[in-house]
Amino acid sequence: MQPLVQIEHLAKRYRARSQSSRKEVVALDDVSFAIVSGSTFALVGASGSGKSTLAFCLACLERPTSGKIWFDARDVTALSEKQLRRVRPEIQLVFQDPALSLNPRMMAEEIIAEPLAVQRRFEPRERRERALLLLERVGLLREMARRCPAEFSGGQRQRLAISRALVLEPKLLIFDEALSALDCSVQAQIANLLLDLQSAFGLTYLFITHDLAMAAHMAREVAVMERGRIVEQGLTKNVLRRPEHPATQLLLAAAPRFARPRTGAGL
Amino acid sequence: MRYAFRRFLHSVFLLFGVSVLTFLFTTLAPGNYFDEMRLNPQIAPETVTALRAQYELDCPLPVRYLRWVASVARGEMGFSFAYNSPVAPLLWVRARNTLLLSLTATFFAWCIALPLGIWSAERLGRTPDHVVTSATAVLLVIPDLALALGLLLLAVRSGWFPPGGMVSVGFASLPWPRKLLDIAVHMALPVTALVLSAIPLLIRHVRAAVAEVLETGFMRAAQGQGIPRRRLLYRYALPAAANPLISLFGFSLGALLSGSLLVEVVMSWPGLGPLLLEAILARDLYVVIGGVLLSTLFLVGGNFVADLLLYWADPRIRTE
Amino acid sequence: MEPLLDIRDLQIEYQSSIGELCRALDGVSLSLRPREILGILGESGSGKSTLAASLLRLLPPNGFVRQGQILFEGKDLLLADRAELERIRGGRISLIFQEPGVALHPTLRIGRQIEEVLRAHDSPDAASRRERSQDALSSVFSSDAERIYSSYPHQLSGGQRQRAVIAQAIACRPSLLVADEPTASLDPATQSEILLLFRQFKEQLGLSLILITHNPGLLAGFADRVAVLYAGEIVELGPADAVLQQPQHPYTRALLQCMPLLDANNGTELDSRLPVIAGDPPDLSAPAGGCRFAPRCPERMEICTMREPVAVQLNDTHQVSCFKYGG
Repeated sequence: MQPLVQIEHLAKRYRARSQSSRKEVVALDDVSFAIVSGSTFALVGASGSGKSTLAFCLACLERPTSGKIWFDARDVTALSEKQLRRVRPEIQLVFQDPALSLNPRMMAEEIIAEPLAVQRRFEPRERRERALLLLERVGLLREMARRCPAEFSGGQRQRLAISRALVLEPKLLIFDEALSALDCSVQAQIANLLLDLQSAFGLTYLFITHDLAMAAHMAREVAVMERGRIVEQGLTKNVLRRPEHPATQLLLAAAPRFARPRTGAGL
Repeated sequence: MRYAFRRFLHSVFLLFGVSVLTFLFTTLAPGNYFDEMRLNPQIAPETVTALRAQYELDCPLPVRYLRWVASVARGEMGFSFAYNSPVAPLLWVRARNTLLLSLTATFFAWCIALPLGIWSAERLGRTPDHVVTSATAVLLVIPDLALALGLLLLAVRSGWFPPGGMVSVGFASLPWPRKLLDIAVHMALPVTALVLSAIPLLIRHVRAAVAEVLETGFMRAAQGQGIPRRRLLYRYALPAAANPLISLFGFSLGALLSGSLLVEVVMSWPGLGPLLLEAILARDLYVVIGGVLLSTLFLVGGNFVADLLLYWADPRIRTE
Repeated sequence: MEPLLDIRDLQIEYQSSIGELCRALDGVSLSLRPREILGILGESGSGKSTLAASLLRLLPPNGFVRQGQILFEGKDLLLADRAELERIRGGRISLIFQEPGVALHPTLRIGRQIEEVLRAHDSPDAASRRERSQDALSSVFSSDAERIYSSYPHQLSGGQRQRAVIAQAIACRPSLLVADEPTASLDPATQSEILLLFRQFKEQLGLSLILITHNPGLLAGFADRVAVLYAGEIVELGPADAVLQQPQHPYTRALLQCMPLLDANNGTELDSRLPVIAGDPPDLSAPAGGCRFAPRCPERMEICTMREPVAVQLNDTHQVSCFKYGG
């Protein structure tokens, strides 16, 4: 079966704009992997390893220096800006800090409906109705529709961001450290929500994180990045059971590994 | 260095552009100096024509502009019809008088606005802050003209201050210290008027900039490190709030020549303002151009200085 | 042994702009020995940041202490005057906030910022300040300390900034370090390094540490004791191993179960749903009578909604506030 996303030899180089050096920064170097439709692919790595750059290239927000990105059998790297505008709604991003990606002066329902308005789909009333439906779908209440982001908790804001990402009915959702800033119990709730939504809508996820335990829980396949390169990839359970590259081993060492507490009766 | 050079070139280019525009507007505006003369039946039309030719008023525009640029290069900056002398010496004297006033006023304005703005920002939302914001609001609303006239009235009624002018009659015969005192006494009211009209805006900006900084994480962190209050305000908060204030300072510098026109006219202070006003009314062409250009020079210079200060004060701009 | 820090029955309230009172901390009692690492486990809304801020009396203007004592080295910090407070802040107790990027002054060099703290705490001459500042930086940066000394915050990465903040915090050799989510935005490798630094300082400088976090994984194998904070109260307190591996309070249990963990084979159950704690944290401006956790507690009993539980000692070192154990 054709994978939904196929990345071939992707590279991205920036020219550093500082006064002293005119060096080139290599953000991505020969990155290749594929994501099967309906599944979750995890991308793990330390800060600066290139994960976010990859997310931006995949979301067609940045052009790679070289390489190809196949999305749904189309080569998006070869498309013009005008054609890209039609592709972008199908790939949506959810960021780490919802406070930064939600307009603080807009109400929840406006935030969710905004992509529809920008894409000029449907009448205003229909847009509002769809926004409210999605609001409920992500676990928020209709009464909250007219509140502003500041009145929501961190977890609720992230749900809002997710519902906004869903409103254009995308095929691929990219989560860039979307759970990292949340409390543990809230992470669990959102993780469950994401799995529910995935099976309900047949979504494909690219899950970027540095939490290996969460990656193992969510994703079937994983790729480990270091300094712009993929150093190890494969089925999550295999990579974690027998990590070969030092970067993977390092991440593994830092993951919490105390035994799950015994439930039920007390002492 | 490259940054300074770029800004400098930018400023020069700006000045050049302004000179062209000013020249264009003033010469294209209807009327000229000799119109009054022409209306006078006692002066023969040929005299007027001859005078016009003497002053080269009938040459084409570009030629006149170039002649004027040459005159600037010679240090004359054109010729005044009304005063029958090169423009430059007229401007210098008047500009000096204006600067005396405006530099003093700017100095005092900032000396008052900075501590008051900081004090107000520290007490944001509480009664002292409300007092300050109300007082600045009242001052902002009162037109400069009303302030100046009000002070003039005070001078006349109380007799404590001279009602205008820069020096008393018999100034030349006074000994040095008395000369200084005389000027100071004459300066008191105009400076007060200028300071009162400048401080509301300054206080508001200082207050806003400092208040924003006081809420930031690093201020709280510094407080948590036991840094004493005074040092916190002046070595931490103020430098962090400096960016908008430096830009404002640039404007203060820029307005040194142009901001006091109204007050000078009302209080008969022999500065650039009254000269310019006269010259505009009389269509004394080159005086107007010279005056405008001088003011522009200060404006552009002020901005340039602000840019340099900003570059020096904020390392984030430097490493970009 | 005399405790270094002894918090007794601390109650802190915030007043909202419309006059509503919200009790952020309701009778918190804790003590800390010298050279001890105490972990405070709490999620958003638990009152953990309020607790951290209150130690140095850095509450925002609308927050105030209703009652309680904070005894540090025998003296009540809540009664200290301004001079005493400034002496203790940064000199005896140092606070590290979340978000390292925000804690550093944007236009001062790192070395200079450390020297400012030294200057505030009896380090009279510039030369000795410079030396101590460079020493502090060398102890947190294994290489590169020189470069960091003359750098500005925006030239450093997140991890480097946090280390710089830590260097600043220990420059005056305080006896207590309070770190509020110090590793929040950092990746795991850097997190481990920072924790290692803390342990190093505990050994070398005799520092005590209070580590406040919502991530139990950070405290495992690192903290000596753990206190679990929920809705402004300590619901469980005991040795780290006991609390994290055999939690007694229903909230602690539920919280630890929420985490996806790697088992011995580094595997987990794929696609399973994680157990979650139902509901949301309570609204502290209108506390209902009874146990704060009762509405969300899977082991709720009738008494839980009627009275508030008190702390019950399970043994010498472990206490729990839950009716299941009496009280």
